[in-house]
Amino acid sequence: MRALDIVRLRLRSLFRAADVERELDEELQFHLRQRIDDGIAHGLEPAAARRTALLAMDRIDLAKEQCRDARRLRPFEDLVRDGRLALRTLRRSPGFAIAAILSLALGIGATSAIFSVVNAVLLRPLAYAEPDRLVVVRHGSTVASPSVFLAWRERTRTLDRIGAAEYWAPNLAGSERTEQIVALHVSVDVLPLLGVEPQMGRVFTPDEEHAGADHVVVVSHAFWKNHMAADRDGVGRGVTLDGERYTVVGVMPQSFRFAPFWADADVWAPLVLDSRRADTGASLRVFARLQSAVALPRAAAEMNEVTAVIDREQGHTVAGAEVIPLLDVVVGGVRPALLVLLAASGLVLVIAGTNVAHLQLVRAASRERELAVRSALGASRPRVVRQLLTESLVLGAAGAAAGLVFTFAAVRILIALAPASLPRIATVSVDGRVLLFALGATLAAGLVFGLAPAIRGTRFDVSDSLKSGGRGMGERGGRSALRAAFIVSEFSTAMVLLAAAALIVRSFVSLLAVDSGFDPRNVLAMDVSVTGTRSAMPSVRPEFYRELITRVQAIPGVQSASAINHLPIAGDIWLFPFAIDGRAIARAGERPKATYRVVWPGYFRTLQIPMSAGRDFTAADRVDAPHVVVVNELLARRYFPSGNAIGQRLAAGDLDKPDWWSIVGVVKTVKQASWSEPDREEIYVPYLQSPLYLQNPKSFATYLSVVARTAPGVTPPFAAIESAARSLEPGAVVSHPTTLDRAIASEFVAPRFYMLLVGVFAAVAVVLAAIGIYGVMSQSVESRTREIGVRLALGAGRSQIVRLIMGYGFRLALAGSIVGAVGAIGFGRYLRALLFGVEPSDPATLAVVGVTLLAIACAASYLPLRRAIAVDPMTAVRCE
Amino acid sequence: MSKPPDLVQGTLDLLILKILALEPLHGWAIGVRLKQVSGDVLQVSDGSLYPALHKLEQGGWIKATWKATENNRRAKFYELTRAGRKQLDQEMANWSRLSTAISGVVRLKQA
Repeated sequence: MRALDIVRLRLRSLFRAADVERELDEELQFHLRQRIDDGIAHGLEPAAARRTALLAMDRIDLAKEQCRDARRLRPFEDLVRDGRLALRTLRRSPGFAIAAILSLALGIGATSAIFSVVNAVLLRPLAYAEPDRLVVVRHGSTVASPSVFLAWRERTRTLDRIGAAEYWAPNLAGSERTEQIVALHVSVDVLPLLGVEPQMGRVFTPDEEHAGADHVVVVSHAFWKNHMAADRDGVGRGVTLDGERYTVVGVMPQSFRFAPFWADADVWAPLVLDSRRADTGASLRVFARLQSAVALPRAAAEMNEVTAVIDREQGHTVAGAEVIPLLDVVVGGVRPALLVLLAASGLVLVIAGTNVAHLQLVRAASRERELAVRSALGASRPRVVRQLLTESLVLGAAGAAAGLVFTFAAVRILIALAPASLPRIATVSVDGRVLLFALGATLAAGLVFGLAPAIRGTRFDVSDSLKSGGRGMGERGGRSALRAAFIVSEFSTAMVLLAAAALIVRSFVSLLAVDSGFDPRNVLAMDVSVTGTRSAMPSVRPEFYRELITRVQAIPGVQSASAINHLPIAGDIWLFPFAIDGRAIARAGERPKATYRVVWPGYFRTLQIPMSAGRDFTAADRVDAPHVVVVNELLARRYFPSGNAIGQRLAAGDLDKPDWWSIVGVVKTVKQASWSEPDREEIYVPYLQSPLYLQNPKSFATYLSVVARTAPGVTPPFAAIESAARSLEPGAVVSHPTTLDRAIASEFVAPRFYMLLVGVFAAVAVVLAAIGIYGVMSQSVESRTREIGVRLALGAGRSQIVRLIMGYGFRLALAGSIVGAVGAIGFGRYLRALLFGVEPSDPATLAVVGVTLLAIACAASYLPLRRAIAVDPMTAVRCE
Repeated sequence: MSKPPDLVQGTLDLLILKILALEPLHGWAIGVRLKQVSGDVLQVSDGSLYPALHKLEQGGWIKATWKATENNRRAKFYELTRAGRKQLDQEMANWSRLSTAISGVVRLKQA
C-alpha cells in the first residue's frame, strides 16, 4: 500500500510536474494569507500585516526548492532540461546535426537491416515442436540407403523417432491438364516427429508403410486450396498422381513447410521400403528427434557406433554416421556468408559512430568557451559531461529513428534482391528482436562514441579558455591525439571493408571468366514427362522421345535438338562409382565416382560441347549394338594420361557385376551442378542403351530434358515444343521451361547479392572516412592559420606548407591503411565463404586498396590545403 | 526577537505525525497547534515545515487532500496513513528511549 503510494507520487512528480508545482504555490499562498489574517487579528493594518507576513516568509523560494528536493526528482528534471538544451544546440548547428544523424542512420540502418535477415534466416527457431531436438542423420556425410535406414530404425536407443524422406516429382492429373508437382515419400514417423498436427484428418498409420495400403496422401494447405477448392470435406477425396489413385487422409496447416530445403513440397505419401530392404542406393534423407534426456553428442556417438557395425555387416567401408541439428542443415550453408555481411555492416556502424564522435570533438573545440562559462557558473564536470552525453543520446535517437526508416526500406530491397538459395528469406521482417537490436546499436553508439569526446572535451582549464576566448589556441595534445586515433581507426575500418569488397569483386570477375565448356546462348530446355501415361511403357517410351526430338528439330528457328536426363547447372546430378577394365576395382565406398548422364544423339552438337576425340552417339547405338560411352576430358586425362582413352572400356553403377562399355568419344569438361564447383569426371551413356532408363517404369526414367539450339534472335518456342509433346501423348507434362542463359544467370544471383551489399558497405565506409579526414584537415588548417602565416612571413615556400599540412593527413591515412591491411587479412579468413578463385590475403588487392584509400585521403585534404596555401601572412598574423 | 530553540534533528517529523494523529490539519494549523500545545516553546519556521511535510508525504507516511477551511479557503489537509501511524508508534518509542537516556545524563549530580 505504502509502496504503491510512493510510486504514484513519484510518477505524478515526473509526469504532472506543472500540477505539482501549482499545488505547491497554492499551498504556500494559503499559508501567506493565513499569516496575514493572523497579523490583522493581532491588530495590524492589512498592509503592515502583509509586509510582516512576507518578511516571515522571505525565504519562501528556498523552502519551495527544498519541497521540490523532498520529491527527489532532480535527475529526471535535469534529463528533461538537458534534452531540451541538446535540441536547442543541435538546431543551432544544423550542418553538424544532419551529418551526424545521417552517419548514424546509415550505420544503424545497415546493421539492423542485415540483422533482420540474420534474425529470420539464422536465429528464428524452425516452426516445429521443440525444434532444437530435431536432427538430420547422415550415413558418412551423405544421404542414406534404405538398408542402412531400416537398420538405424531398429537399433537406435538415443533417437525418439527416426524417419526418412525421398524426393518425388509426380504428375498430378487435373481437370484440364496434367502438371508436375513437388512431393515427398516419407516414412510413417516423419510427420509425427515434427510435432505439427494436421489441420484436418490425420497423418499416416504404420500399416500404410506397406504396399497395398500405401495409396494415401497428406497434402499441404496450399494444395488443399488450389487443387481441392478448400473443400471442408476434402479428407477422403481422391487425387491422381502418376496415373494412380491416392486418397487424401490429411491436410496440414498453412504455416507448415517440410522439409525446410524442399519447402515447396505439397504432397506427402508413405515411403514403402518392403521391396527395398537390401537396397544400398543412397537416396534417403533421414530426420530424427532426440530423446528428451539425450544430448546431441551422445546421440552422435551412439549412431556412429551403430552405423560402424551396420557398415561391417553390409560389407561397406566403415563410414559411420553424422548427427546434425536440423537448423544447421537448413541454414548452415549460408551462415558464414550472412555472418560476414553482419560483421561488414557492423564495421559501417563503427565508422559511422567514430565519425559522429569525431564531429562531436570538432564541435567541442569550438564550444569550449560555452562550456567554460557553464563551468564558471557552477556546473560541475559530471554535469557538463552529462549535458554532452545527453546531446549524443538525442543525436543517437534521431539517428536511430532515421535508421529504422532506412531499415524498413532496406529490408524490402534485400528480400527482392536475395538469392532464392537463402532459406526463409521470405520471412524476413522488422520484428521486436530487430527493434531491440537497433536500440542496442544506438545506445552503444551514442554512449561509447559520445562518452570519449565528452570526457576529452571537458578537460580544459576554465580560466585559460575564458581568457583566450576560444580562439587561436592551437590543438592541445590530448585531444588531437584522440582525433588522430579516430582517423586511424576510420581508415583501418574502411580499409578492411574496401579490401573485402575488392576481393569479392575480383571473385565475381573470375566467376564471369569461368569456362562452362558449352555455349549457353540461344539454347532452351524444358522437362517433358510421360509418367503415368501409355507412352511411359518401356516398349514405346524411346519411340515417343525420338519422335518428339524430330518434331522439335522441325520447328522453325530450331537449328538442332536433343535430350538429356539432367540439364547441366539447372538439373540434378547423379554420381555413380565407376571402374576401368583391366584395373583393380576398389572396395565399395572407396570407388571413384563420376556424374552419370543419359543423352540422345546430337546433345553435344546442340550445346556446342567440343568433341576432342572420337565420335558422338548415333541412332545406330541401340540396345542390341555394342555398348558405348563418351567421357569428359578430365576423366580421359586422369585415367588415360597417354591419350589412349578411345577404345578402352569402363563400367559404372553396379561394379560387383561389371558391365563393360567402350569409350568412343571424349568431350570438353563442362560445369555440371554449379558454376563455381571444381571439375568432376563425367560419363555420357546413350539413352537407347541405358538399362536404367530403358526398362525402368519409375518416374525419374520417364522424363527427359529436351534441349534445342535456335538461331540467334528467335523467341524460345516453348509453346511449340509443348504442343508437339501433347500431340504425341495427350498426358505428357511439360515443365521448367528455361534457357541455359537464364539458368546460368541464376548462378550469379547470390554472388552478385553479396558483392552488391559488401560494395555498398565499403562505399559508405570510404565516404565516411573521407568526410572524417576532411574534417580533421579543415580543423587542423584552421587552428594553424597563424602558424602558417608566421612561417610564410619568415620565408617558408608554399611547397613547404603543402608538405606540412599534407604530411599530417597522409601519415594518419597511411597508419590507418597499415592497421587496416592487418585487419583485412584477419577478416579475409571469414570471407572465404564468399570468394572464388582469389586468396583472402591477396597482396595485389591489398596494395591497390591501400593506394586507393591514400589517394582518397589526399583528395579529401585538397580543399583545406587550398585554404592553407591561400593564407595571407599579414592577415593571419594580425587576426588575433 | 529571540529565536525559538532549534528542534532536535528528526523530532519535527515526530511532532508533525503526533499532531496529525489527532486530526487532519493544513500546514498553517499544524504550526499554530505546535505552538499552542508546547506553550509557545516550540516554534517551527515556514522554511522547515513545508519541506518536512512534503518529505513525509513522499515517504507515504501522510497523505494530502484539498478541502475548504472554516472560512472557505482551499487548503491542503494532511492526515496520517496506516503506515504513518505505525511509524509514529515507532518514533514515539524511540523518543522515549532517547529522552529517558538524556534525562538520565542531565540529572547526574555534579561532583
